[in-house]
Amino acid sequence: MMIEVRGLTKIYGRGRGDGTKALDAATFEVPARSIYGFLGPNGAGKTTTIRILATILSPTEGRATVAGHDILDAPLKVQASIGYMPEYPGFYPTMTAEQHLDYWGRFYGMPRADRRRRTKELLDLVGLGAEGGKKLKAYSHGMHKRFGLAQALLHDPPVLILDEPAGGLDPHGIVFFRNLLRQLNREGKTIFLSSHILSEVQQTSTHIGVIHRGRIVSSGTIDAIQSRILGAGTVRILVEAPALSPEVLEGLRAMHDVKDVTRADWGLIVSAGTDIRAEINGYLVQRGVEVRGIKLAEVTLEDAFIALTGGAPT
Amino acid sequence: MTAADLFRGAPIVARRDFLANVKSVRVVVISVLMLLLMVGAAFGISGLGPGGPVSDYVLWVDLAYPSADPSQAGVVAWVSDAFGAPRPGVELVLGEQPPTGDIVERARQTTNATGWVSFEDLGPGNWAVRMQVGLSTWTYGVDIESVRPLWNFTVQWQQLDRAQDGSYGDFLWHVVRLDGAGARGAEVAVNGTLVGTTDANGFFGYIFEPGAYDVNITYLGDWFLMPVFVNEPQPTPLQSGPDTVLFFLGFVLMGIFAPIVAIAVSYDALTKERAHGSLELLLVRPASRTGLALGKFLGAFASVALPILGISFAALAAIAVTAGGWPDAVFTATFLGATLALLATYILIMLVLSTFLKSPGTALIMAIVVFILFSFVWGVVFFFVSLALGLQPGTQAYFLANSVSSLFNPTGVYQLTLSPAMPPNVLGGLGGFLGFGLPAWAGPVAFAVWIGGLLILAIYLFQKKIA
Repeated sequence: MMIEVRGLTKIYGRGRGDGTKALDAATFEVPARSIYGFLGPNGAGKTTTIRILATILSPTEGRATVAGHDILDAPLKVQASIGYMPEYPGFYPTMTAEQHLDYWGRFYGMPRADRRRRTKELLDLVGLGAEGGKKLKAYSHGMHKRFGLAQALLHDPPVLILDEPAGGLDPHGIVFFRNLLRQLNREGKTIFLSSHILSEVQQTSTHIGVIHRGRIVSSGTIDAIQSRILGAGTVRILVEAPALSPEVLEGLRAMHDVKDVTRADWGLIVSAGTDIRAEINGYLVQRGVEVRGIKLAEVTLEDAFIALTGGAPT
Repeated sequence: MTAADLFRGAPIVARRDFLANVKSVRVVVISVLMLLLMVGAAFGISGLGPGGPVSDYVLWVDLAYPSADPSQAGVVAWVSDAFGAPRPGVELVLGEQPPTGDIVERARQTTNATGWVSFEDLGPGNWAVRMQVGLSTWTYGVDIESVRPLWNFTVQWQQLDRAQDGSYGDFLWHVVRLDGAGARGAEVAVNGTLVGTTDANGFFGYIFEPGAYDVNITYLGDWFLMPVFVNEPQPTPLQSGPDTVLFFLGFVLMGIFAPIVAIAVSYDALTKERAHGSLELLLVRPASRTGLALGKFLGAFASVALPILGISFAALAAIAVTAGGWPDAVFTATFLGATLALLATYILIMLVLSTFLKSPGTALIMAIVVFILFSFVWGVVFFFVSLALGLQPGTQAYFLANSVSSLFNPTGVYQLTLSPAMPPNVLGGLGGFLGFGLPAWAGPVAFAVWIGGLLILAIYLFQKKIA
């Protein structure tokens, strides 16, 4: 595992009464070479988790390792192993992008020639090759985000920790980031990212973790999470059949394993414990109902998210 | 963790912050203003006090009657130092002295190898000779009468305080023959006892102990009698001189303005980074928190210490030019060292505050509060607290309490450090009184405790509170 988190707890303001528990015994693992999407509503503890893994904050309790290094015992090794991009990357407004990378490159012991070479490579990679000599105060939000990713890649770390990397970007920027992250993942990097954009995580991530009120409520591959939803309870079957009599509806409600039947303009939504599409189709055909189509509703990550956290995503 | 890991990142952060600070508008503007203030004050304060400094250039102006014809009469001038050594190459201006206003230039000459110039064939009238050296100007007037005097020689004298102890016991005489040449061999007797003769230029110097004397100068059968009174050493509070000027620059100006410079550079060292968001990206670099704290401190300190040292040396040079010499070496070294310690202390105070202050605005308010507290309010609070405690101002207990309270104020510690190094001629020996009741090492040790304690606190806060 590239990241292992065990019982991580963070309580803010312990000196002032009981404090606020931002993270409550969080435990999860991030496999090497995965893209791990870290989901949760506002205030769930995503950023706190990320800042602890990035060694910015210390946990109140619990342990975590990144690339095999303990965040408390070997912070310097953790720092050398990660590239970190905060949700709102902040820079020195009067320094140019090139000066920033030259400055930060010194921390990794990179010789001057390497710093120069790497600066050019990275600025080209994120599409800022022509903007390297500009002061950061002249950059737009999108350019800040791109440069934020460039600085995270400066020392070619095996792990990228990205807080809301697509936040605030326009559609072109989102596509750019998605493609770049996939490329970096193919090159072997483990990417740990938080996001509010569920569809983005679904398209990008291989694994997800869901955090709610400081607790990890689910962690695993996207398929496993979706299966959990399926296995745990309800399958929605969409029946496209415009003309249905009340008797037929009552008959459907009385069928074995059917939990609910909802009428729609185009037909029905049947919630059942298992996939009983064949039984429903047989029943309707026997009663002369014209069935234009019958299919399972796809369980989206949003469904999973709502099911796991008990609320709408934010 | 190795020692290298413990301080990892410090040089990198220090280098960036130093370069960013020294190029910042605020450091450049403050440095220029401070330079003008210190150098200007060095010039201004050098002019204070009765007597002023002893000059390295002394101008003697006499009449010269080469013949009985007054129309051939002229003026001779001789330039020496305060010990009678000739000053060649000094330009002198001869002019007519109108009843009011400045002299009207008539001729200009440079002193020869023996320090003399001669303006001949001037004739009767009011004449004046002007000498300008550096920024100082001396003008002496002489009247050529229409009748040649009857005596064989003229005497000029100066009474100086070369020891700068308030006792004007240094007498210089210049004896000139009526034809304008220096009177070699004129005999000088004090209370009837011959003490020496004038040299080839007519110069003679003698140092009197305090007291009253009769001085008799005889030459070619003529004599000149003058009473001399030399006072006891009486240092005056505003007695001038390089050490006194440095006292004002250090105690009054640097004690106030060095903290302003230090605070201006460092008050938002961290809050600005926090506000910009750059702090978060700094904290994830492979650097120890100790290294980051040290780097922040050293970067700010170097960017302040460098201009302040430059300004200090410029002020010292200004003192040397205008106050007659360099200040005492130990006093100067203590001044420089204490100033650096004062800067370091205020920078660390700001660094500690900025670890938990969230916005640059709050940090600015706190910086102003700290400055006003230590520079102005402290003394007022001490006064009222001492009254409440029943300490009578002016008593030994009051001064001792004042000294002890100064240990808890960086500006006070600065003064306590400077006081013991102050030469006794400054403020009539009042220098030592400012550290009343405390040993000489109290100031330096207090600085060490301040700087060491604040550094440890800053490192602790970087570990625990910075994020």
